[in-house]
Amino acid sequence: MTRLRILARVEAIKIRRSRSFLVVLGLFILINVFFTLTSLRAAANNPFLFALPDAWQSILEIPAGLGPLLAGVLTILLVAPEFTWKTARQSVIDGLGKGEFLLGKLLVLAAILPVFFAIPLLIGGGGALPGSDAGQAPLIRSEDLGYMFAYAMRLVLFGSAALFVAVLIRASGPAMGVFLLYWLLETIVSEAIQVMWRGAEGVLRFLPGGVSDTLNDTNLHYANELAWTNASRAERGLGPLELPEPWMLLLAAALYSALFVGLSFHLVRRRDL
Amino acid sequence: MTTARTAVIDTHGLSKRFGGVLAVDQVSFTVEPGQVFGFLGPNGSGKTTTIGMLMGIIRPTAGSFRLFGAGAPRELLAARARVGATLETPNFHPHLSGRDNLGIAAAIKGVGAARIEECLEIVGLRDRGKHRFRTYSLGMKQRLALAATMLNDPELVVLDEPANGLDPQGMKEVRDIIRILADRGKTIFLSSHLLWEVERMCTHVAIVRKGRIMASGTVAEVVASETAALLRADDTDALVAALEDYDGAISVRATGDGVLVGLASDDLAALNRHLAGLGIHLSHLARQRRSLEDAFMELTRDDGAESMTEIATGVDS
Ligand SMILES: Nc1ncnc2c1ncn2[C@@H]1O[C@H](COP(=O)(O)OP(=O)(O)O)[C@@H](O)[C@H]1O
Ligand SMILES: [Mg+2]
Repeated sequence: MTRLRILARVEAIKIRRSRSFLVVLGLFILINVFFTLTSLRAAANNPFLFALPDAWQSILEIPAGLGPLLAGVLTILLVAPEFTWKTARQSVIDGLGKGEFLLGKLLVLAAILPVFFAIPLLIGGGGALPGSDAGQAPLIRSEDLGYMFAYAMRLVLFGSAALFVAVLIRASGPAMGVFLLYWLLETIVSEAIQVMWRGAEGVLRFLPGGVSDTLNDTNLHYANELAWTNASRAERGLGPLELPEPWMLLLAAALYSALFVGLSFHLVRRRDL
Repeated sequence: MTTARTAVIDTHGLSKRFGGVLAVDQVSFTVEPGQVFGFLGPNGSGKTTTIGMLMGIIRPTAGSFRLFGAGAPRELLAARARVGATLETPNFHPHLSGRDNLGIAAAIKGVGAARIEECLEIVGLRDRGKHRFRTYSLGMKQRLALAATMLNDPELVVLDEPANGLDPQGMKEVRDIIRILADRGKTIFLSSHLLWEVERMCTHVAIVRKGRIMASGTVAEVVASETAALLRADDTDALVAALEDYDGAISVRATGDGVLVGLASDDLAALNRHLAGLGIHLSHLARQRRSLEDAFMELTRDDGAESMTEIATGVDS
């Protein structure tokens, strides 16, 4: 317990004065404010267009959709420089175990991910609240909760993937490049494979990026959305959309996260600093 | 067999290979309590790597070591609480103030805020403590590293080239701090590529070259045991190059008079055979009466901040 408190104290000193922290978080807040203002303006004459609970769907799909990527970028900016500055090395010389150093970074994730989780809910939800009629329906339905949970899981997935890349590459610039490029490449390769083999979609959805994209798909969470999609697919002569059960995707995200964290510990313990 | 006091550092056949490079090769030495131990060798001889293994940041390829008698990983973590060390350059967060950086080290070492101020005071950084580390001069950075090292009032202080890049005034300040620590009975292990620096401050020395210990003991013993020889050949550059590759050579220096070489043993015949094997034929080979120390002292008079590459490999620039 006291060791954890030491790690928390050390990371708090670092984050308190971190410009990366302010810049990335500020950017995410701005994106959410911008989205909320735009939505409110579009709904100026018809407040119900941006009102809870329906507004959760677009809040979680659009601004929150970017949350995991930005959380990952911030994670890299907070972890990788410790290797370039050799402060990770110094911390171990000063008395931290190598594993403890990484545990400190897990505490950082535990601190920043809830903030990334809360920002769209507070800003978007807060913006949509005045137009909502609390008497009509509950402000949050179980579908919304499911979508929120999926968002939380995507944050964990991207946070742990970023941690792994930061530990693997140990320099923030290249690590960020690899991190961003991976998701892009996965999308491109998945598309290419699907062109050749349509049946691959079900499998490709279980790649890390596929899991995240599918978890962010409104069709997964809202039955009326899925009905809509399937109707439009039928018009184009396509069969209904085949989506995995949400729990399978959540489980996959959890397993990937555990794998990334486990690999990070393995790397840090194995390698010289 | 037990000694009266547990050695502070005790290594046995410690080795580290980086891919094809054998950076540290079967290094064994012992540092007893109260010694000021100099680890002397030219750049690239494996000093930092050796210290890194002792500090738990580099995994040895072979061999073992003990700190305060502790050898198992968990014991070592506890033993390191009695050590203060910096490796190579001062490693701090550039965007944090000197004080915040010490705050991080203090939290890890379980030291209170009052001690941070004390250590800033000792190294003369009290006034600059609130400024960002990246605004510090190299001397201030080194001093902050010294302050971090002292935070936990360690029994063993490990300094890797503490005077590197400092001007004569800065070097003197570092020396003074080391002397104060030594007077307080701390054990000090410091690496250097400057013989004169080690001679001035240390009680004991190990000379390391290409990852191997060439000689070790008290400073007086090591200096006395060395053989110095003056060599001449037609091609001085080739001679210097060949001597640099000779395992028995501790130091090589070209002088106007020939090439002065310090040897770990007095087997001049072996040296001659080595050179002949490389096609270098000597026109002159003589044991020097002048001690190696004298030769080094003369060198340091030229330029106080000369690097050991020049001293140990000896090429006049
Ligand atoms: N991380 C590393 N990877 C590869 N080679 C290394 C690494 N660290 C040190 N070396 C090599 O090991 C040798 C010893 O280096 P070092 O311990 O830094 O020497 P010193 O501190 O005496 O200058 C050098 O040849 C250096 O190039
Ligand atoms: Mg070094």
